[in-house]
Amino acid sequence: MKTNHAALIAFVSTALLAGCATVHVQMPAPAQIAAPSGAPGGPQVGVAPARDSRSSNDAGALGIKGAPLPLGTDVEVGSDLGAYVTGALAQGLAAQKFAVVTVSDPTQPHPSGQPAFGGKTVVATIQSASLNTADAIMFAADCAVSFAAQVYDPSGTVVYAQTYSGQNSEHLGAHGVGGYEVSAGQVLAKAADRAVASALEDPKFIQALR
Amino acid sequence: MLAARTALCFAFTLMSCATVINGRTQNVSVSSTPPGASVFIDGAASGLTPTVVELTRNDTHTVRIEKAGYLLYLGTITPTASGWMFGNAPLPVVGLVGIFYDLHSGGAYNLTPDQLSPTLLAAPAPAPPAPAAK
Repeated sequence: MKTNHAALIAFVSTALLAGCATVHVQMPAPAQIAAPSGAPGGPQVGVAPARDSRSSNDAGALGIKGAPLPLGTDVEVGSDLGAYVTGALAQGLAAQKFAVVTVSDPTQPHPSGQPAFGGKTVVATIQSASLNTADAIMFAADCAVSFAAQVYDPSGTVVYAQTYSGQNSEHLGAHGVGGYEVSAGQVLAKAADRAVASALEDPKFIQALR
Repeated sequence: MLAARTALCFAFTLMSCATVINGRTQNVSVSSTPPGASVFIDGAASGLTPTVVELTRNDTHTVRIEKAGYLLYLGTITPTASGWMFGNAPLPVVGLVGIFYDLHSGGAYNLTPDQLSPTLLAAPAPAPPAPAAK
């Protein structure tokens, strides 16, 4: 009996000492995204690195939020979501026959004092990202991504802006924490892809870039 | 014997305790910078920011925040597990009833995030009217 108590106390102590683990979502690496292949002669458009207006990287939890393993783990989505959306936008615009150029943020002054890029530039601003499931093995993870896309003309004026979102619900499978970081990234990437697709299907957005 | 009965009674009191403790709904605070933006939960108007909305715990909710001169904000509030679910654990077989009840009622879940406070992005100024054709 004493052995059982000691084992129980040891288990609880270990769980509490383990603290709240965090899954840092790893979006697919840029190398896994097909390189933009803009059509020469098509309208040239700049794609600048995405901004992030979220107040924190907190995106939800697998299981009980704030609980120690194995009861739950928090989920954080960092700056690589912005990098992913930037890459997906560039890829999608290239597929629509734009000559895509990677440029710096059009609101940042260029050292030369001249506009860094003579065409229109699109900048995505991540508004929200969430990934939650009550149980990562039994239930699907529900995730969503939303971003605002702003189109700048060469003078740095915003000529068009709209908000787009995408959702996905998918099982993450059974993994260790490291495995969840990868699988959560793949599931969240599909939500981001749908948000980007809704932008590319917006005729006003495409028209603003021409 | 008395201890066993007491433990059994205690275990029964914990059944479905997630629903008892949490209830079926959760209050979520929604604010924005700047304030005074219209809030729509699952498409239904839910007041102006800052506000507190009461949401069912076992559903995913979409949040739209709109204000003239600013870009639309889209967010999602989703259910995660509540630790009170483990109140059903002391009764491994009978506790299943409690688990199913908690899952059905929504008491088994906590909504995440429990507060939303986005900074709205300014929308582009409307283009000046084109000069009238002669």
